[in-house]
Amino acid sequence: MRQGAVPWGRVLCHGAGCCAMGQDAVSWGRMLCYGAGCCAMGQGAVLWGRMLCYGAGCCAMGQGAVLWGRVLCHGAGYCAMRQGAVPWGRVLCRGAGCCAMGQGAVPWGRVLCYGAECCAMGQGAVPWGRVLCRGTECCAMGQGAVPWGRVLCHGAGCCAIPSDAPQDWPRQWKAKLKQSPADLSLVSGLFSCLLSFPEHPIAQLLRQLQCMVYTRLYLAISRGAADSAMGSPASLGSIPLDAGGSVPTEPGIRRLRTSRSLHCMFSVPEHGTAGLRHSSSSTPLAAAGTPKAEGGWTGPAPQTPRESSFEDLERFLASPEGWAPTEPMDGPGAEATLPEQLKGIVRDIHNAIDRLLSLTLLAFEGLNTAAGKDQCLACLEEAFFPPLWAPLLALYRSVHQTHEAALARSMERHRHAGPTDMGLASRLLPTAPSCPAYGSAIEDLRLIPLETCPRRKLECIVRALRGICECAEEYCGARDRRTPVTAAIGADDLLPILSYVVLQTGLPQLLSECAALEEFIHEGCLIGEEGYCLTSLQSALSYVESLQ
Amino acid sequence: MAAGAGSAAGGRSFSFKVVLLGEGCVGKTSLVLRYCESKFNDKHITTLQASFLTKKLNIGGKRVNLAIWDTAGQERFHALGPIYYRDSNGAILVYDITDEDSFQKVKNWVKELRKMLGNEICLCIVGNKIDLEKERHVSVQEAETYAESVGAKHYHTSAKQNKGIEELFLDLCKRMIETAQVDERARGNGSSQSGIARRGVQIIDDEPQVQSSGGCCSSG
Repeated sequence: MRQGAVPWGRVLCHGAGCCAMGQDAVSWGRMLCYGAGCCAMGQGAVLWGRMLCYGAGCCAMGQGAVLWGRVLCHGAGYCAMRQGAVPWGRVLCRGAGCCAMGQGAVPWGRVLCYGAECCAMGQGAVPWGRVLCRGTECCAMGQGAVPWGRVLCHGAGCCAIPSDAPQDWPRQWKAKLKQSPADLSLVSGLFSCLLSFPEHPIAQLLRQLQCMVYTRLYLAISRGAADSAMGSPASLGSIPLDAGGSVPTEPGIRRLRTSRSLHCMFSVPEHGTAGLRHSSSSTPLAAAGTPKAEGGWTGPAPQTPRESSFEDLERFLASPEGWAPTEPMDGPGAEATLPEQLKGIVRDIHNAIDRLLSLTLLAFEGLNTAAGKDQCLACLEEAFFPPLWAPLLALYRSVHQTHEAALARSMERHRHAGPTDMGLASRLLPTAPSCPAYGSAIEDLRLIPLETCPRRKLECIVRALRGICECAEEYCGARDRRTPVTAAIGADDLLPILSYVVLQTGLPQLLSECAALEEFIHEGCLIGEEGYCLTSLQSALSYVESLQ
Repeated sequence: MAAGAGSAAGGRSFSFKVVLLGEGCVGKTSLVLRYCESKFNDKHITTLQASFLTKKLNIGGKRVNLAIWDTAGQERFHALGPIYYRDSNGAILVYDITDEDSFQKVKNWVKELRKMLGNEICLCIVGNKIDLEKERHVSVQEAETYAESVGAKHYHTSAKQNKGIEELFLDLCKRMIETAQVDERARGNGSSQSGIARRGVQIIDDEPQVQSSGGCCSSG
């Protein structure tokens, strides 16, 4: 057929290879194919019409073959579509293995599968469209088959993804997780992939919650700062990074008071409130208050209409209103003290992480094991905390100001104290006087403020304590090789060494870091090695603080 | 995908925190090293040496993970005690039978522990160094009477000869399991998957509950 051959009529093919259509061959009409390989269509062959295929391999479609029309496939292996074959139309598959789609086959349209293994999709087959699967193993998708679109599956194991396909899309990850549920390294891979798609619900929720917490932190800090602005402007982050420097002369006594009046609120910069408003809506938030807007996704997201039944995950997103922050953030009645505000924020952070975790587990059921959850949590925290840690720490520091100042003074006073001054037994000292005692542990503790995620900070602490034990063993062994077991150090030795190491770091803010870590250390780690190390460090810090 | 035998029956596992208290030279380090190293390996148990040790046990089908926290015995660190022993399920208070002073210290700790943690913590008072029986300065009678009076159990050990240590820990574990179970029953009568009540004790059902959710797989 040539152009306009059957503009409004119907075409019925029963033979094999019976039609080769040109542009607009059946503009508004209908095409019914019963034969095998019956149609080879060109651009716009069935512009607004319908295509019904019953045969096997009946259509080989070119670009824009069924521009806005519908394609219904009942046969097996029935359509081999090229780019943009059904740009805005719909594709309904009932057969088995009925569609083999190429890149951009259904760019904005919809694909509905009812058959088994009905779609074998290539890269970008349905870039922005939707895919609905009801059959068993109905889609075998390649990498990036539906990069931005949506996929909803109702069948069992309905999406089969080649396991060798490199990381890209949730379906593949699901299969991978299913295949090797014990391989926890998969989880971090999944997350880095997941968060690289800013429009994925999990990435969206993450950003939204970060923004909410950030806004609260910002308000608390700026209020606290405004509160003490008259006295010493050096309220937050003012304590020098090295204790060798000057110590704030005026310990902030007033800082811990409640914010006194309304005028504090008015000093909150405009965009603070704007961010606040954003955080309780479901619109994209990157612009408003996110401290580090990741590159690429700052513009408005293409808003897709939300239709019922399709959006299991989006119900999570749609309900931020139901998740009001635990305390009113401002308003005339808000006279919360900084410690109270901090408590509220900590609670919000825990809630936020819980929410992210449940969303993730809903999306990837394979992760719902104890180990999987734990790994998930680690990844979520690693994504959640980095932009928030600095303001969070600032709040902790202003709450612990007096302690920190005392610690800083003590550190300054005992700056030159040697290991023996701290009560270390001589067997715990290096034999060679040239090398600094427990240098590696000092370095590890100095790394704590440079990390931005609680787990990583804890790792520094654990590393430091292990390093102390190694050094002690080495020093003891160098003196006396006969008794390696009795040389093993217990807390009687560890704490004096650690106190010495803490003193050497000259970092009084470790106190606030630890206070924050105590709050965000995973419950399961609390009685384990991490918990012990954190407790020991806190002990050492308060011991140094208490030194005369 | 879904299901996968979601029934959460099966054994349980307990995680307990045990804090180790005792003056400088009473031998608590050797005691705990003995316990965690004997038989199995001579290598390091953990990388924190004797400060923090873990041990896994199986007691009547119940799996127990012990985390043993050593504390500094020196007087100058005394004020730091509470931060170590909060949320402990058990405490082992070690004294040296040849050193009357170390027994006095134990008494102080007992008072403190009872004040801070109440009766939920299982206390073990341990007279170590029974290989030096000839030099004994703390009478068995006195120690046992005292232990009974404060609701603690008394044990005699020798880290040097590896005597009484296994029994000490086994007994402690059984008592901690009992306490945890009583605690759990009192708390949430029968709700099997009740979470962690106190921060210290963790009772974990073996099979994680399979969460039911909407579609078989779903994402954006």
